[in-house]
Amino acid sequence: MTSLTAKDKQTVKAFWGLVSNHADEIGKDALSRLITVYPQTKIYFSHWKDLSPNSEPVKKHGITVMTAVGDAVSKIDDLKGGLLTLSELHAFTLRVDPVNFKLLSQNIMVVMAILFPADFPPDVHVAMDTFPAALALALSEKYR
Amino acid sequence: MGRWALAQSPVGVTLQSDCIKAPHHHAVIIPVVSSTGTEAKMSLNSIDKERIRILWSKISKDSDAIGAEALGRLFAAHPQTKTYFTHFKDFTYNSPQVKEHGKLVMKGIKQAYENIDDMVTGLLDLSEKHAFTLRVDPSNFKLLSSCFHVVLSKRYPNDYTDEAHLSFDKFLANVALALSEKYR
Repeated sequence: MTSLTAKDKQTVKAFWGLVSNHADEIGKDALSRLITVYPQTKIYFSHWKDLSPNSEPVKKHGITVMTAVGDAVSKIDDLKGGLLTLSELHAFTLRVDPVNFKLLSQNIMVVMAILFPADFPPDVHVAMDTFPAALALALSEKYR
Repeated sequence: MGRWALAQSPVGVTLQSDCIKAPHHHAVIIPVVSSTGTEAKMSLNSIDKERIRILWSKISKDSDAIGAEALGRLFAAHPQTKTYFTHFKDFTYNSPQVKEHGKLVMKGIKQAYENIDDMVTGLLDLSEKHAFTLRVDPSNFKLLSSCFHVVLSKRYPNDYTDEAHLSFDKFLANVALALSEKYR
């Protein structure tokens, strides 16, 4: 796992510029995939009435997540500092096991590659894998 | 370590209504962390560094033996790690090759300790070595960390308190992260 280089950050920002209009769709698809492919993640959402892919709660939560991702892109130069409150939220209130960050990152990547096949060559792939990893790291900051 | 369960949101955070209703962790008081702690790597604070300093002062004189034992355990408990050492004749902790390599590993750990405030920079050369020459898969760093915990708790049962364990685990997780820096 490596720090984001200047080139990575540029690539992430450029790619995000391309896809941010579809953020809601990406969020919904990624979350739906997450609960389908990794059903153990459903435990964090046992309070939702409908846990099926593409349901209303999933859609709504996908928007929440992708809004935060978009915000993280703007804070890409200091993710740790910028995501402190979100880290506290995940550590103390939501209590999400950090292994799940990897799973969601993977699903977001898969959805992005499906929706934007022409814009996802290997170098974009690397940046869009390194960035979520850095994001996950920043989110894990307050756990201990 | 950690804070007790919150009845309200942390300052400055607005919780979505669906987030508050998470009933699944009522019994859990401390934040949830994966068992080896190395997927989520948290920065070392001053309390960690002090604990690590104290622990290091106690263990550094035995560092060669600790390195050899940790490696010996690694090969015994996780045989797949032997693939990186096809030139070794004997994988037990008191074989000359394992002893020598244990020394080398501890030299690296010492380097990390001496660069504790900026491990990424301080371990750049080692990261390059592991990435380009040795080509060790970073998942193995976790395995060696767990062997260190076993060896240290066996050897220093009174000094390896929960807090020391916690801080040292964070330390090793940060070492692993710094070592992974040059992989891509």
